[in-house]
Amino acid sequence: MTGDTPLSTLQQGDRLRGFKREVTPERISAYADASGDHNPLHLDPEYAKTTQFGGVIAHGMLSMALVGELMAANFPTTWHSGGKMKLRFKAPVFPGETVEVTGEVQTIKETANGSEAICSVTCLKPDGTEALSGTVSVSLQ
Amino acid sequence: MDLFSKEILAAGGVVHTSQEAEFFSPVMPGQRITASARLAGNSVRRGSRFVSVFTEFRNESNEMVATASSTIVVPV
Repeated sequence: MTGDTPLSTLQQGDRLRGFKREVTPERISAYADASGDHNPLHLDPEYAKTTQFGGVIAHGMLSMALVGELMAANFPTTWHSGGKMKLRFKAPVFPGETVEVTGEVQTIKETANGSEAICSVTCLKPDGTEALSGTVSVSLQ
Repeated sequence: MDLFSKEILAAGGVVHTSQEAEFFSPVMPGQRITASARLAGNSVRRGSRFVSVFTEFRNESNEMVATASSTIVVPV
């Protein structure tokens, strides 16, 4: 697994070191304050009941931030200097759910600036469905 | 853009469906970042409106530090 693996030996198929995180109401509220997104869908239970989701849901961007954490943990020397994320939000995360964030190296690509790893990533809900999935690229230099 | 924003907020039921982001260089605490957003797509498919917004983030030296592309679904 990456994180302990030198970037020079990274290979297709290597799994990223993932983690689980409980998405508490407090975390959702803190994310609303940090992001400036106070959409009542994420904060107001009475409003959220009237929506298609039937209740408050976490920001999709909160799950995306967890993917950022995954990449920073696995590529601590390169992620903050540059990277690319392309994600689809597939299912809502409800307060109190614990999600699991994981990824896998799909390919190592040579670029003009060196090499980069292209990873598939996912954020799984407790029932195994994907809250989000997509692709993340990170430089290996 | 103001009228467009009001239309989105008034619609309710807006759902964020996908997000792309590219980071070019780190941002340090205390730096001032300017975000410039433009409408990149606006189409109706299968009874829903898909709106895409592309945003550039520049630092005080006008260097681009990140870009983002968001797609949201707005009920028609």
